[in-house]
Amino acid sequence: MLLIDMLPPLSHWHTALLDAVWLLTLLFPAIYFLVFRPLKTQLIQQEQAEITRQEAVDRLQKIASQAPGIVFQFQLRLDGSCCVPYANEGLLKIYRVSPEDVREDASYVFTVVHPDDLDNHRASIQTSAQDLTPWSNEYRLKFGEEPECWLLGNALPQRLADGSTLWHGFITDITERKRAETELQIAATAFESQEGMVITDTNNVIIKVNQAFIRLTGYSSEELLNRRMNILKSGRHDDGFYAAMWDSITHTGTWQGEIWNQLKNTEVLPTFVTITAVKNNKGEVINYVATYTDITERKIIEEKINNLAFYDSLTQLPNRVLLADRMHQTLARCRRNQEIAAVCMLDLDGFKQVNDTLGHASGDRLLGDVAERLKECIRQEDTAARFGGDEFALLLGGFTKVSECEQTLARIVVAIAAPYQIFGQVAHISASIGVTLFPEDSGDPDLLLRHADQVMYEVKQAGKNGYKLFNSVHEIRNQTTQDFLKKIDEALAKGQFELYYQPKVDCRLGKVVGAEASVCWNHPVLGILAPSEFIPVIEHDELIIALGEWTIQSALLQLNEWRETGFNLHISVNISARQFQNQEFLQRLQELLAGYDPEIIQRLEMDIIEMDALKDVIAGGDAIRRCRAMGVRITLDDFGTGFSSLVQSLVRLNHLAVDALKVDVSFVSDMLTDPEDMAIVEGVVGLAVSSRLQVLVKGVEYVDQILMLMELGCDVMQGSGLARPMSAKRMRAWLATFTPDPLWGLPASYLTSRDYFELLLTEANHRVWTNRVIANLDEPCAHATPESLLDHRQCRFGQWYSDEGAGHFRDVSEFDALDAVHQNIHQISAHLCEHRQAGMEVEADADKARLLAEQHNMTSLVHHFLADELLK
Amino acid sequence: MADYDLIVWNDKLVIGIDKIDEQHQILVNLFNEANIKLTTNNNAKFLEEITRNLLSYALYHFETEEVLMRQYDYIEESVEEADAHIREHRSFSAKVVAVRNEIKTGVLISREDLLSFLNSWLINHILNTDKALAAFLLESENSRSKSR
Repeated sequence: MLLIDMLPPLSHWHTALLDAVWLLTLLFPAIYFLVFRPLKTQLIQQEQAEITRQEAVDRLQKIASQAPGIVFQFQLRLDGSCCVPYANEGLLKIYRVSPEDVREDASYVFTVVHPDDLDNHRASIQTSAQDLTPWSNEYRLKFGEEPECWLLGNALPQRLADGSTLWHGFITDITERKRAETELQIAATAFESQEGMVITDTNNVIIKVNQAFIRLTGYSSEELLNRRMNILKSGRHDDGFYAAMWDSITHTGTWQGEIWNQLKNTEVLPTFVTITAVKNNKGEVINYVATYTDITERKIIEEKINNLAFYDSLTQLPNRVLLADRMHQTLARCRRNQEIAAVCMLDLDGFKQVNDTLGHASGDRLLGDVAERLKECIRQEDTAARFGGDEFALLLGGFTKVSECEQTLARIVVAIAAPYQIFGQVAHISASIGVTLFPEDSGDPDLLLRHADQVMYEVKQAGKNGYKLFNSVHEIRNQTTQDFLKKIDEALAKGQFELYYQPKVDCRLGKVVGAEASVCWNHPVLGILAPSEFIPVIEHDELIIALGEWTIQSALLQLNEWRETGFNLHISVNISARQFQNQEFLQRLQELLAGYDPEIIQRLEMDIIEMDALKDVIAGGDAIRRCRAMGVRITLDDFGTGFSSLVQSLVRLNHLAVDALKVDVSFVSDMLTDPEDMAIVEGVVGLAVSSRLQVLVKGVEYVDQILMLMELGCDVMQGSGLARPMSAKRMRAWLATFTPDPLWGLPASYLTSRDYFELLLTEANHRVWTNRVIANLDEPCAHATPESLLDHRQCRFGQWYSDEGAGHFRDVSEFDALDAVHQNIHQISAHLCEHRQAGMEVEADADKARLLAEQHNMTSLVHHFLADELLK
Repeated sequence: MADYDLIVWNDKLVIGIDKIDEQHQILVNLFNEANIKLTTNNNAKFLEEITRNLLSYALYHFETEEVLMRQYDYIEESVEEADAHIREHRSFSAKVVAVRNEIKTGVLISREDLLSFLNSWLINHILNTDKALAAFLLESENSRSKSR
């Protein structure tokens, strides 16, 4: 462009061309050196500066765009308007406005500042502008409802020529930092809260404690740091407790619960503890944080609430709620321990009067005293409760007898009725107690309380100051016993008693010698009742004496009647030892005997039963002698059991001087199964005989027993094997037709054949064997097996049969039949055993019936066989 | 010694005839007493006492029931039931008398056997036999009052 300007106009082109070329050639170096070169250098320099500048801008732009915030210029004009000549893209991100939009007018930037920070924000800018001090401000932006955004701005101000101020600077988003700061602050505040906190390392060594923890434990922070946590261990928790705690921390990362800790002053404190495991990013536990809350207060409050809910505040006794709870426990315990529990309602008599005359304070004091007395009367595990007013309840357990319970109740009645000293005044009250007993009453606590309440009012009505048992079975029992005794009394008056007679037979003579009279009750509803059914009920009552006298009277009348019809029999009546020892008895006996012939009187015998009750042998002996002096014979019946006591009794007999001794056949029946016993029995009987005592045997059932007894020298016997007890009317018929059993003659031929006796013995033994098989198989764990039962040669009869018996009876045809029956018995026994083991009850019962029938068969076969042999 | 539970008197045992219920309560109470007091080595004296009580209350009770049976013609109208019922009464007395006789000769019934007998007898007697009687009695009482 410059060259063109220097060229001549086009009309002079031709002439000028040469000039120009010459001139150019001439001038070129000069022009070059004078004009072009400096121009070019300048141009190059300019170009390079531009490049450098552009590079700097680019670099700045790049840096600015990478800067985490806003890089900016901010200009504040004197008129107060402002603009942002430059800002990087950060502006858009943080202020949400593009740099172009605020290049001329930046008033927008103030509109998004948090209203709370705006004044401060503006002021900071003004100050910086006025003083030209660096601007620094933390402030918040707020966009609608979004969370606030914290900014930190820093800029350097410079004054421009027009008086405006221009800042260059940057703004960073410090929201995250602020949040962290806040959290830290919260954490710090929290750590110094009211709760004791302790941080430990993974070895449970304390690394940090807060003030509250120091206060809580009494230790200083120096004493705690670097110590293990067990410094606080109280010893109140077992290893299992800590194991469970650590188990929870390991598996769930946390544990909460109550721990008793020991303080520096050795006091033990209940604390509520939360332990949390702190984990790093990798999930490894790095610390444990534990917070401790002192729950002493809470415990106290809990206790108070507890007390309010379960205890009466005036007397500190349990209230209705707690009593109900205790009742469940007590009833369960009594059920388990088989004990009796008593539930009682107690109401004070005369309490209102005390309250009215001495005042409420005295009334309250009195209730407190009553509570104390109640507590003193009962066991630790019993409960005295107050339901309000002057109403109390008692729950007593652990009784094995109603009488024990009654003793306690009587004690309480007495204790409550004793005078009270109330503020220097004397007060008198008493207690009305209604009682019901578990288990005889229901197992429902509410019902028990209702029953106790009900009967408590009955006590009130009946005159107070006492106790009464609710509908007590105990009481009904007493009442029933009384009623029953009354019925017997009435029966006596109405003539419902009747003497039954069981004949006594002298088998050697084949003659009836007498009868034992027993008193039967011809009950209008229940029919004939044996003495064993009702005598027990009256034997401790005076009635037994009246009944005894009636018996003697009736027996005497009967003796008279028999004599008139030609039977010279004795009658023995049972007299209890109690009656015999009665002071008036001998007197009464005398009166009863008066008017009877001595001949009649000497046929009266008295069987003294319950010999054991005859404690005073000397006095008893005296009474016996006086009876005998009146002509009455005395027999001792039922004394002791077993041989040894029989021997002892025999020794005592020398003092008693009785006429006869009555023994049960069970004394001798053992020798059927074990012949060795026979020697002992023989000795005992021999001793009796040598003391000139007649020995009577009762309860005889089988002929072999009769035969054996005869062999022993006991000839007089009674029992169902001879005759059962019968009325006087039937007795007469029986006497008229009585004939002795021919078998009784056997002992007479005893010397000619011991074998008969052996046969009887072994047969009797087999009867025992059969009974034992049945009894044994009835047991759930029988040892018998069908095989063992089947072997008919193993039993004693079997042995005898194949050995001695066969020798003597070989030629007798019936002897073979006996073998068949015997083998059959064993076969049935085996069947029975099989059926029992298989649980076939119906078949087993049938077997049992067949077995008994077959055994009976065997018995009668033997008896017939013997009778036939004897009659030959 | 808790092989048998105490029988806690409850509504199931109530048959609805006051007099009989009262007596059943005594019998149940006797069972409980035996249960509480009997040990495995029971002594003859206590066994004697408990069986004596059993006899007296049973007899008293049976009489009450049998009188009612007659009054209400149970014996005529339910021959089989009445027969079985009375047989049950007699067998109870017979068993207790047998037990007593054994005690006299020194053979003491075991605690187990006595409790087992009493427990099954009582429960069966009250829940079955006597409930049947009570149903009959209440029914006829009902129809009597209606016809009036």
